[in-house]
Amino acid sequence: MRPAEKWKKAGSLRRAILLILIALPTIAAAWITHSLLPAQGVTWLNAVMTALFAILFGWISVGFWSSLAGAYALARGGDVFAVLKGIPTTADLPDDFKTAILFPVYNEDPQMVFSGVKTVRDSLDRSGAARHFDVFVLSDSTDPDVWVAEEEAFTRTKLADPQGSGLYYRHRQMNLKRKSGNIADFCRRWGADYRYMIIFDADSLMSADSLIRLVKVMEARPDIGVVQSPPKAIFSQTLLAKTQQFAGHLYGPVFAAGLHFWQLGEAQYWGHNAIIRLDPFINHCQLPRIPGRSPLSGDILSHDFVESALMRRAGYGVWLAYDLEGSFEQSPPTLVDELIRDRRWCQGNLQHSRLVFARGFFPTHRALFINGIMSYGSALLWFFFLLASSAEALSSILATPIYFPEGPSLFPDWPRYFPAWALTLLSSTALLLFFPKFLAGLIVTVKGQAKAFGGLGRLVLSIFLEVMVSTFLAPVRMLFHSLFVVTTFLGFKVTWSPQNRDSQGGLTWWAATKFHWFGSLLGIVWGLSMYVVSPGFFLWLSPVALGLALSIPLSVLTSRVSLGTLAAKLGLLRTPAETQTPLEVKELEERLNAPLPASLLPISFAKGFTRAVVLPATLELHLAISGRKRKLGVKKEWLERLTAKALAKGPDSLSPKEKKALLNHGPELVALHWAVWRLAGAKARRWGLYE
Amino acid sequence: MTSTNDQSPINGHAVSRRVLLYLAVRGFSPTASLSLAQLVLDQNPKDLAEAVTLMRDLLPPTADPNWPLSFPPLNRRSMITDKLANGDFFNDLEL
Repeated sequence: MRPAEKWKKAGSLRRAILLILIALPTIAAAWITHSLLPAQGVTWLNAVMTALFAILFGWISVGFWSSLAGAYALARGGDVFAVLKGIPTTADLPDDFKTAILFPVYNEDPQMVFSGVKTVRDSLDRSGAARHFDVFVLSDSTDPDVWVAEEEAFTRTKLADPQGSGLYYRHRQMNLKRKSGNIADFCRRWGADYRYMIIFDADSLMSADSLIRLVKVMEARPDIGVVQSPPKAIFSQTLLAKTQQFAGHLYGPVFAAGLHFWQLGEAQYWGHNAIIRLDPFINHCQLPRIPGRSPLSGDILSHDFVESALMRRAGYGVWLAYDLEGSFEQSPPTLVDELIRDRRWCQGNLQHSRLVFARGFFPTHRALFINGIMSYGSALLWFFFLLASSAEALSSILATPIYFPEGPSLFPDWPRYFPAWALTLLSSTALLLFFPKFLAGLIVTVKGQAKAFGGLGRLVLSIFLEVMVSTFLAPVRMLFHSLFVVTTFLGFKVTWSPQNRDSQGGLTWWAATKFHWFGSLLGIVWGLSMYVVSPGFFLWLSPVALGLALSIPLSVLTSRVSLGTLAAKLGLLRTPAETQTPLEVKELEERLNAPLPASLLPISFAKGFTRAVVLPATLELHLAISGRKRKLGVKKEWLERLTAKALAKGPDSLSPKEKKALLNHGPELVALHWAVWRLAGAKARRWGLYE
Repeated sequence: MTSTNDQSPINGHAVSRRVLLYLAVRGFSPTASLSLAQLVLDQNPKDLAEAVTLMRDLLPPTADPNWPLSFPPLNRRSMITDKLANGDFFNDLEL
């Protein structure tokens, strides 16, 4: 049997086993739940609760069985179908093709982006493989200050590179189809020049070893379209980010091995830190618009899941290289940042409901679409379950039991309670949720890697700390994810203004209150009313009510760098990236903390537009990179009015759109440059020209 | 304009400073900046604006406008040309 057929057969068998492992306990749990409910006979409320519990139980058991499968694969020394088996790390790549490394960026910090670019290029230089890779920074930045800052950062990076070639910057004028359109633009213009592309995020980092191994896998396996690496978080400073970084480093390998076990060549691409074969991607993976005018129509937002389904539909495998080291990313620092990101992801995942029944997709990818929908939909189902449980608790207190229902009966029908079964159900749910975490800790300990996590004692304490933080934050996430699902379906857009930060970048109490007041109020009212009406049920509800009620302090405290630093001082939440720091991570950290070059004029790099107008070198750079004669059909009279306004009132009087218009018109920009240098007094000082 | 006879509210020091500042920011050495600034002042600009205009006209041409090279030339076999010819640029998912 050919290798491709072998893994397909194995994958089908493994997934069939997974379905049985999920279905049987779920049916048992549903039956127990139904039996536990105190109502006599079947009520609609009982039926709803049983159905919701069954769905949620089945959902969380996917993670449980994935962890067990991952542990099994790791215990056996790796999966027999692992794509990295037998792939060396030597840099002897063929010279007849190149791989493009893409950094699509959108209003990110240019120093962060280009520090990552330089670190990757230096790593490739050391490995001797630099000539096989070209790096493209593909900017969709709409903020004119960031646009110019990117150009300056690009030039500094290029000048600092002894090679000087193989690094390119492109700024796109129209943000058509967002990130997927950005990549598609690269494919149209330069895709034919490369065999593969490796997509990064603005905060991604990959070592040369990992990049070379990915290329070698693609060369060895022409049946593969995408190989996804499992990125691990680095540079986390706040308590929340450190908790998630710890979870990713400890649980991630087991969970990734488990995902690989079930998915094999029908895995998912996560949008970054992955290599893609360009030819089939261009031929088969360009995304259409979803027809209609509903909130789930239009451009496909979460493009990565759809692209992997399209790649598989075209006959190419999509694999997860679960055991690839040297792939990194950064975590959101605060709960609010995480939830703002989740809002976008939620809409993208829900949109996939329009694709579940699209023609040609493999069943695994249809299941993965449903999995993505449930990542957020399960929160709403959990919320409904809690509401239904509260209603059931209320009705059992307030409603009069009917001891003699209709029909002849010699004996009364007493309400039945099964505390032992309740305990069994609770224990099973807790097992599904928490056992994988301790299993991962056990595997790390058995492999002798506990020292990398701070030693066995600190590892155990760290796991408890992570469980505490995630347990208390779970109800907050549940509430917001439920809100996101509902508002997405109703077509409402929830936006948040930039968050107020304290001096260390943490969330202020006022900002947290504005964000979480509703959840806090709900938790207090819900908890108190259940405590008064049904103290027994209140005990079950208390973790949820407490988490919601405390959401403001939880959000503030987990955003604190000081608490993250305290945890680090106590040796908690340590990860191998901190105890055995890879060279690339060290270099990137140094670059991120390095001061920016000094300037004769007090105009910060954050004020890119002002720098482009005032500084001759920045002006020339901008005109060289972005073109001197760009015409966008803008009226000359309008540009003249903008120029007059800028001279009279300074750069801060212009809106981003007005600044972009001037940046796009070379002759007007040059004229403004000289006019600014002719200014005197207060008008000159607004541009940073002090006499 | 000479500083000893100047009655204008725009004094020679401000003009000199502005010209020297521009030249320094532009990357000229101190010696070259002083020479160029002197050339400007020798033409007796009546105010700051005129001094800057004179300086602009005296400056040598700027560097190669194509530096630094931002991106490689477009491959004329770009996919949009190929795919539009084939008429199947976008997938039809048949939703």
